[in-house]
Amino acid sequence: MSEHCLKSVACAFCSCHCTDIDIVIQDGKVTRIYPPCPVAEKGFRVETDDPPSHGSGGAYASNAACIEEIYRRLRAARLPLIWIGSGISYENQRSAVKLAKTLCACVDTPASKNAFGITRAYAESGMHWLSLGGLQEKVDTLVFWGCDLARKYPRFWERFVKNGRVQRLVNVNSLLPAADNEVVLNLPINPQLCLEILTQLRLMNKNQAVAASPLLHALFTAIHASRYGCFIFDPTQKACHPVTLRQAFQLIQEMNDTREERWFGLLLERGVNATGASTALLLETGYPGAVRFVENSARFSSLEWSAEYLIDNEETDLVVQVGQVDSQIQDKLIGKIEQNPQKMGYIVLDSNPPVSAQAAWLPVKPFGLNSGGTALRMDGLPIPIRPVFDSPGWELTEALERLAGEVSL
Amino acid sequence: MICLSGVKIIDPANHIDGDIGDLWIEGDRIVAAPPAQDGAEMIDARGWIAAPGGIEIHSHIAGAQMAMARKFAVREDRMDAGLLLPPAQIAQAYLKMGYTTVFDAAMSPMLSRLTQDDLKAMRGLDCGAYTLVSEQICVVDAIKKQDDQALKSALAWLLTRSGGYALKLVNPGVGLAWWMGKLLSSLDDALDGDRLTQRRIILAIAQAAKELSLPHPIHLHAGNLGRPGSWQSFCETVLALEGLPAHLCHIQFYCYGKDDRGRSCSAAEQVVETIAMRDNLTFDVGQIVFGPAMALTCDLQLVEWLHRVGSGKWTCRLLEGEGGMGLLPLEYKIKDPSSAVQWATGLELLLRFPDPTRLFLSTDYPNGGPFIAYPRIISWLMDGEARQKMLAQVHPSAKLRTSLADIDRQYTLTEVVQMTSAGPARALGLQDRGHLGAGALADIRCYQPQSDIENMFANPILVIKRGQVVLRDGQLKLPSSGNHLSVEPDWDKDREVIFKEQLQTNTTIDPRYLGWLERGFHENREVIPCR
Ligand code: SF4
Ligand SMILES: [Zn+2]
Repeated sequence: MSEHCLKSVACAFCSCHCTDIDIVIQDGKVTRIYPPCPVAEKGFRVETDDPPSHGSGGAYASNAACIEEIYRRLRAARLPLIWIGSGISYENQRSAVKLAKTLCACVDTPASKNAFGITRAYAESGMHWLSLGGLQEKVDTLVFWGCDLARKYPRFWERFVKNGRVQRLVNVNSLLPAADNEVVLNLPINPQLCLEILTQLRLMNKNQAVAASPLLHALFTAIHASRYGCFIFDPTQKACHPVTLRQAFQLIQEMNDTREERWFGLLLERGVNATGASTALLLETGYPGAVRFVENSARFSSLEWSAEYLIDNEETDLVVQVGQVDSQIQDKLIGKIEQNPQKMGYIVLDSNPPVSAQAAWLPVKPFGLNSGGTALRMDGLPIPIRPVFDSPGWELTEALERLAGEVSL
Repeated sequence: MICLSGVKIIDPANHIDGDIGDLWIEGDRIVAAPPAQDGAEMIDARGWIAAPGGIEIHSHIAGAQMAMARKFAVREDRMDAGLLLPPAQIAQAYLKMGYTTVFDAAMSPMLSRLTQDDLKAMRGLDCGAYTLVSEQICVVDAIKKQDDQALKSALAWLLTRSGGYALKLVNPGVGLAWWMGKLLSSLDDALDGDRLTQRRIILAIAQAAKELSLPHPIHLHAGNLGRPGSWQSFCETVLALEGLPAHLCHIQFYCYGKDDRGRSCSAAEQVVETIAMRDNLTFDVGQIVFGPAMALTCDLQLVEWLHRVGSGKWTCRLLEGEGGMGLLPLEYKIKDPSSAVQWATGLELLLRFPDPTRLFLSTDYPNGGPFIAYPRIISWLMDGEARQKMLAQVHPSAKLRTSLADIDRQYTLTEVVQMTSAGPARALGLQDRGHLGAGALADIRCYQPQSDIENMFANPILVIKRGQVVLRDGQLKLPSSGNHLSVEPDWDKDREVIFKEQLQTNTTIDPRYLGWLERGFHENREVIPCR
């Protein structure tokens, strides 16, 4: 039994992207990681046996044959849709957009609907971001605005909050790590009321009288006891609907305009933006989601070119999913694809086998385990992820490049 | 082999001013006329003008702040009037104008991987980026300790590891001050006790850059940008350099006095008086053009001030160990008094400054507007009539608060080539470009002379990049890739451990995982030797 330990490995499995993980490897498998983190454990313990060489939807003799088949289908497609999911490197997200460009295809991410709303909120209200180091170094008041920290970012607390200067915590409808009972103010606000609360806070900030509940008063007082403060938003939560976020961004802007203290915001983009899919789209096209390429230039319409619309209305005849897509989002659309196998093809380029038996699957090496690349931390800092194992199989990069190359011939 | 035959050559660096001749190209270089000329592709260039490819010395085209700006400018129906293009389109727009080498003016070391990725996507252009150094922990620490050796190594370390070309200083100390809740208003404001001041930071880095023999000296964004009365503090900054070489960027924004009602008025004349004779310095103008623009800068104090005076929305991003960056959408309006004054002041500066090999064309894209407006700006410089016509259209304050109306000077074609190519090449220490002598890189733009100057410069008839025809008859054919220009100054490698330690203690980044420490960045890396 060969056992060895890798120190200070970078973790690709949530957008904290911790770089202090020690992992124990035995017989080509990760048996233990330290410090413990359930999300990372799940990520690192993915079976690392050679991935099967064909998809569940069609038995390909080899990956090369699979590429050949994908290429054939891409060429035959009238309007392909490239659907960029998470769990792939930032470089590969950019490559996937470029593939769409070469194909004059539509491109979307499962997050774009939300991402667009958030981007609009940002564009309309402005926002003050700070990096996690800035948070740790300066922030004395943290407001968790609807975040499922404990489940999604298990070590966020330990890495970026615990050793910082935070003196006050305000918890608005969030799930915090159980161990931390330092929350000074716990406000179990119904997500439906978040918008109203923010509106009231804005009025209070402008010294306009509102009939504030004791809870709201406490919230206002806690917020204004600070020198540096930061809101943490999780856009996958109901409390962070784009419309609500817009109010929140405005509140932050107004507090900075009218008061001595400085306020910031941080968006936990996992689930919305994963390793940066909407950023990659924005970089390549100028838009945060759902575009169609027409002769090298991108046309943007969050309605017309969204995956949801295209699939629902059978306007695309081939869906190419790159990376993994949340099962909830997937279920609905896949159902639709499966109803129409004649009209809509479905190809998956991912390390995990697709949910749909109809999909043609090109298995690629899992990012963060057998394959490396850049990941964007939740504050936008690029973190280089290196592969933990070497294994045979295809790199997604290789597959995307091959496809783009074939198509442009 | 390619030959442009019978072409009118404008090559100020080699003192050729309109001679008719042949230009021979072999591989990616310009060569002397070969003895045997069979087999060469002859391009009949009679009637055309040939000049060295344009060189952009100051433009914000890549990296996280551009990504943020694109986000900030998102609309349902359009990108802000083509202002914030994606990287590939930026490259195409430059090539179409005959620009072949472009530098990004502000690259954060921590985020340099993202800048480098964007530069890579700019197919066809030779690109480089200036590394932001003035707020970096290791730099500030070395200056505080007055440790010149450590400072030199810190600067070289940041440059090499981020893949930068030159050292960029942005209102030095502003990030530190901002975090401390202080305003930085003069060169001698104390930033840390009384030892650290902007003057000391500038002087120390300028000196170190000189000792590192970098091809381009420090690239400095001075303080008090845009404020009425800024010309005085700008001139103080010029004097503070004590004769050391430097490039001061977008200096239009500092050419302002105050009239008796406290409004901005042109002080271009005073500024020109101070800077014209200082051969140690070069400049770019940062001309504004009417239309949408975006303030995009690491000068947080500036963006916050713009927000407060104009109440436009703004956004910022603070970055541990580095300072931050800010954005604010702008619109320069033809009938707006201060826009008009700014427009006229920039032109006044360009027309008063005697030496186009030292004052270069820029819009500080996207701060002053899009770079695709260069042809229009050139037309205002070359054609007095067009300029006066425009002046008559803009808000009358341009006439009242600047002296643009009184200036008759018209740029010659040679001067335009000096300010867009020969001058920037020399300032950047790029010896193989900016001219058309044998051995130079075959980066060439050709124009069909015509009375419509703007159209002539906007639509070169032929553009050659590294010996390949990339534009002909309006059709763009991209070469596979361009080079990534960087430098490799000498430094004391033993100090790297210390710099990394400083990072580790002051940020959440494990130095082993700094994006910029490990990658080859660019396959076509070209290291420009230190002088
Ligand atoms: S918190 Fe996230 S990045 Fe850190 S170890 Fe857990 S899954 Fe990995
Ligand atoms: Zn600039």
